Amino acid sequence: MNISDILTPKRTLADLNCSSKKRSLESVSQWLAEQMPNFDGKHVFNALINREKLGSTGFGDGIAIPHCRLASCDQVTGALVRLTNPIDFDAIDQQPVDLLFVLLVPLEATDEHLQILATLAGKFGQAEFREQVRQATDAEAIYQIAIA
Amino acid sequence: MIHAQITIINKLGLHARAAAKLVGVTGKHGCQIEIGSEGKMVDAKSIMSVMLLAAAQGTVLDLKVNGEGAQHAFDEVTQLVNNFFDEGE
Repeated sequence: MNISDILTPKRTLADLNCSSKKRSLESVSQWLAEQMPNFDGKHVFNALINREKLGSTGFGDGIAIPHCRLASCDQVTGALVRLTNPIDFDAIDQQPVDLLFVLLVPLEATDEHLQILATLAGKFGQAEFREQVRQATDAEAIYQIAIA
Repeated sequence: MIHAQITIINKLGLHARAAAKLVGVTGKHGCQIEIGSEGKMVDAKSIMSVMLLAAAQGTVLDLKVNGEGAQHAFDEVTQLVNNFFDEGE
């Protein structure tokens, strides 16, 4: 499973300005719903925030992978968002987060979900990759780095 | 050093929340803890590394614990895994 299977240039955002974890998830949910008519923004937001209540998806080093399972989702859908300013995300290492990879997953896609998490962990676990995404000039550049 | 095999038995496997719980347990211990399979052992205190394993239900993993308090750490990790990461299935 490759990142290019789940991410598109349109679902890559270079500079989202928001003040909190909740606001960031709200904005991203709305933005995704605008592009993908099968998703309801409010519904996506509720699912993401409910997942966060079970434990933060801020996995350290400024990275968060907010995700949820949705009945309205027929294939794993990703979105990569770089925030203008790092925000508190209750992360596992207590550090603020500035890179979000949002994952919307079909209800039954258990193995596929694990494969995608492994792919993302392989990328975002590398300091060099994180730095490249942070330094990229625009969304298109971020997308190219992500799928490389 | 303790070296044993554990089977991931929970339905969802080592997904993000289970990995976070594992790291929550391993991180409390000062000893070195590695998990994985031969050729791909990773630091069990790093959530990104644990997620790299993509261990689905039924996967048999090696668990290596080394250093002070190894037995205690080993017991806690196996208890978490064998208790389905407290997910109930």
